[in-house]
Amino acid sequence: MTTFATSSLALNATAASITASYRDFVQKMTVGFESIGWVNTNAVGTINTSSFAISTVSGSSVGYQVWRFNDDLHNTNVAPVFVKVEYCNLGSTTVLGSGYYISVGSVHDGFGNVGFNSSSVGPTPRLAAGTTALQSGTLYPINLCAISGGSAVGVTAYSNASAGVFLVERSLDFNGNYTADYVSIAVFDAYNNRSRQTYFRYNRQDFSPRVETAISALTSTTTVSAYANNVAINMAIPIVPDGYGYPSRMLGFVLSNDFALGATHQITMFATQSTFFVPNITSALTSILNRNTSALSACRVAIRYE
Amino acid sequence: MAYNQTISVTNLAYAPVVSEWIGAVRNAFLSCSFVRIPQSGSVDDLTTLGVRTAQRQQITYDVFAFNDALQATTPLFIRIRYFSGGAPGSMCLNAQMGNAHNGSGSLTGTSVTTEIENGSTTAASPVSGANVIASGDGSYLTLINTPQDTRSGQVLLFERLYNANGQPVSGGFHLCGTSGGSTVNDFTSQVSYSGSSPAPRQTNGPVFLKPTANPALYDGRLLLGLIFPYAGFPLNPTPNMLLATSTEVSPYQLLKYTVYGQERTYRNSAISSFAAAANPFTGAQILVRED
Repeated sequence: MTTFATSSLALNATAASITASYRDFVQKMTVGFESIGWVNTNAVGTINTSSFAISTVSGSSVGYQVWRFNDDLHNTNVAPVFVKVEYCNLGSTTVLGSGYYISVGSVHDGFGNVGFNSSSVGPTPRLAAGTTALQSGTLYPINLCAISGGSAVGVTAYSNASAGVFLVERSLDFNGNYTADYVSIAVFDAYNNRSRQTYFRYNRQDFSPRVETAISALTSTTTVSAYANNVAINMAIPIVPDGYGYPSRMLGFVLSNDFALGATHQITMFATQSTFFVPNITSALTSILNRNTSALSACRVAIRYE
Repeated sequence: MAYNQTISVTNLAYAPVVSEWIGAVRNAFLSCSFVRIPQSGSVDDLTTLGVRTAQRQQITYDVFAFNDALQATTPLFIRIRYFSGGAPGSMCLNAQMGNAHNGSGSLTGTSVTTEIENGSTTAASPVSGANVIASGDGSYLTLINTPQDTRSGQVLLFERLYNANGQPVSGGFHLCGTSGGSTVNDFTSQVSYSGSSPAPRQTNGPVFLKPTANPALYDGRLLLGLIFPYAGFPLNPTPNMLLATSTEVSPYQLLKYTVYGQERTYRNSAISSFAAAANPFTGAQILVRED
């Protein structure tokens, strides 16, 4: 049985202190990961969310957490997933870009190093997600969602102009059931206006993970693209050396004229009705996808949310 | 069945070039198992075609029938209208699909797609040695029009929809192709279920999956882009047209690729010069099936 957990928090960026705002972001993310069912491994060297020092170097890690999945494939040791989250300010000493790196492996040494077992190649390269400069006195929502304490998607510290986006999701079969083949990762870094996707494969040593410089997805360009009472959320599609994977159950893209922003929508995928949320982010997302941006001025992100 | 006809354009006067060009397109359909349906007003003897001095003047037209096992129960027709282009010898070709025709040059019924103006409407002169290249088996047809001239080079795909095993099905059809003047201004895709009004036409390129970029090779293999007919949601991808990146494939290169578990041959149409909104991605190249 699939269970969902969602977390919605609001980061209050303050003018008083970049450090205070950034600590607030890290604390809210931590609460969010816990509330969606991920388990903090409390690795040696884990960031102290209330006292860490902010870096003066843009993109420099200020500390990490290693989380693990809490779903059946992890807990039965069939396909463990450890997610290392390294927090970083993507901005500067005067500008806060709420950033973080994501990397995934199948083992964790207890000291903050995620890696791979003897029959796999990994871990994944670490990928950055995060926002453009946060403005003081503004609330920035953080929406996270996980299925059964495992595969998860998040839109973090977003406004209408910016968002961080991440996806960590297991491979799927034809029926939409999670499998132990690989884990795919996708991120959007609004500060640098770029998106990336990669993967970690279990029990494969023949080809190390590569990074695509966009998130692969199908995208309609003609709004309204509804036909015969159907309109699609176009899901992110993993790319692994074997080819294209079955589409994500958690991260997709829509055209703004097709779906109301800031609202949830019911959509059927893998023969199951699911709830998706389209955050009210009206710019900065065109570079998230893998096609010509001039055809995508109205593209929005949609995340699983139930 | 593949068809590759070189047009030896040595005299850029209108009449000989136009008749040869129309003949090549007509032969492309016939060579790929399509059946030309007699229509009142469709000229049989192309040598009788007169000179057209005006731009965008219809010369003649053809209606072709699909010729596959599904045609008896779900007929499908293509109308090609031949126009003069914007320069001596240049030709514009309008393409449309539907389930029925009236015998006098019009597709009829509910399921008639929007016409694609597949050809040059401006002064894009053809060059000697221009090719008309086609591939088809009566259930699909790909057509590359004058690939030697990228300004007026265009590509078309006519096909039925496919099931999850890559077999054509009777439920509907898909028309995909480029159009424009001195550049490829549009790259459109439109689906119609048989008996229903067509779905919204995708005018800024079809719904597609981009080929891998970084790296282009996964485990030594290219992962090429797939095109998905769209009817409110993506349908099964076409095995007849693929997308690649110009850094990975040469102009007109033939290469093998496997879709639906079956390896087929594809040709890079080398069509480029997309208008901004029509360009699927930087360096996009349209590959069409040729076997």
